[in-house]
Amino acid sequence: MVKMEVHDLNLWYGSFHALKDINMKVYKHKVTAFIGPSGCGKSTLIRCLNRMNDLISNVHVEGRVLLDDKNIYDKDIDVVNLRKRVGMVFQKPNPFPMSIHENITYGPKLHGKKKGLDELVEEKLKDAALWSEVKDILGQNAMDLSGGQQQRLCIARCLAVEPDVILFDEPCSALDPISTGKIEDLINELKRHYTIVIVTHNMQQAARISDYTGYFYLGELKEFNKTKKIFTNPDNPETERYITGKFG
Amino acid sequence: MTRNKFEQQLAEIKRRLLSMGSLSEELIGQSVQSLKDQDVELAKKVIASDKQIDREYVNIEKKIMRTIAMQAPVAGDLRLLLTALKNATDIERLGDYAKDIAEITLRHKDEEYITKLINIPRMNEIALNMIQISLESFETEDADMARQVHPLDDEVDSLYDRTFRLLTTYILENPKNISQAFSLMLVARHLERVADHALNIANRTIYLKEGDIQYI
Repeated sequence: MVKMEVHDLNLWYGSFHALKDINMKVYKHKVTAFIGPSGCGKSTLIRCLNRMNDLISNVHVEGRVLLDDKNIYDKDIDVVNLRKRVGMVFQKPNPFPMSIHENITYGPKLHGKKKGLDELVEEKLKDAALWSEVKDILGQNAMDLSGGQQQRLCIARCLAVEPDVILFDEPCSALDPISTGKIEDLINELKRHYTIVIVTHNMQQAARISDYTGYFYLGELKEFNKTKKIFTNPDNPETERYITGKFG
Repeated sequence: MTRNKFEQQLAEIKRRLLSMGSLSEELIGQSVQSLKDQDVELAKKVIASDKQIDREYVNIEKKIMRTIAMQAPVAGDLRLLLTALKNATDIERLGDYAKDIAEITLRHKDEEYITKLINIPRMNEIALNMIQISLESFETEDADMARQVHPLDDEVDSLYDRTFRLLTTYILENPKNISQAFSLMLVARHLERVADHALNIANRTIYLKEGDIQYI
């Protein structure tokens, strides 16, 4: 089942044409990975999926991005509400400089939630596989957590506003292999309830955790296919050259 | 980004596998020659050389495993390593068949053969040709060349059936022929299997090139 659809998407940073005629689908309760060399447009595309690029001046977007068949670039779209439905976790863990508890409740409070906050904190920390490690220190500053814990806190914070889709922009590139393993396990769990899109530089990570993979090069989507197909017998020889390390 | 060390490792694995393949092919030829000529010395040489193939098989398997572990290959590189691993097993079996045929030479070294050996050398000739083509197709990664092996396997199968029927008549004629007829049946069976292993190697070249496993 399709959750998001990208139609003829083009994006320019000033005169630089960063995304060229992108067409693809994001399937519900699946993990979709974007791979490609630096500057290929994969992060730009993921940021189009919740209009994060609106925050950058000089960006011009053409084309459509549908979320449950509704174009998120339509004029009547409430961008704050869109980003609640399509959450994002960034490369570097970025907890707010406040307590663990407040990090989770910040978003829901902003959206008007006043009751059941403690239950929410417990539930979301459990979903993010962090509860057992922090349940006795909820009042402690989130900045004191380890990098891997901070990243899982950011995931819990994202889950707290109950999104449909979660975008991960290189979520493990600042983490050690153990923390990376935990995040990967977590993504595998989360896809039961959420639709996930991930940008990664680590091709083995894409192979391990994603169901679909898109290979980007110079702003073009060169191949979009099932991950198992991409990593055993890709259709496009350019994809093969990139994933086997012969180029990129 | 290029991966020179990895490329070198792949080339090395391929080179050693092809050299092991050539040795196996030579041993099969020599084993049948020893049978035909009742050449005891040649048979003993084949038996000793099989150990060399067994050792090389272990080394190649270790090298492939290390390369997979250290280089995390995908797509064409992964298919090449899996193909090499499976081919190594097939080639090692070829050595075993050569040894078994050489042992049969030794078993009947002082006997007069119950029949002139015609089908067996013919099967041998075709099977050796199949090994040659399949190894070359692997070396050059040429799927079309690999497909040339398919009809040859049918020829070997048909010669095997004929040989089996012929040797059965010798058994029925005279029970004294049983021991030798069984041995020759076994040689024919081994050669039929040699052809099957050559076919496996050829089919894997098709898989390597086209990524389609249905030929296996």
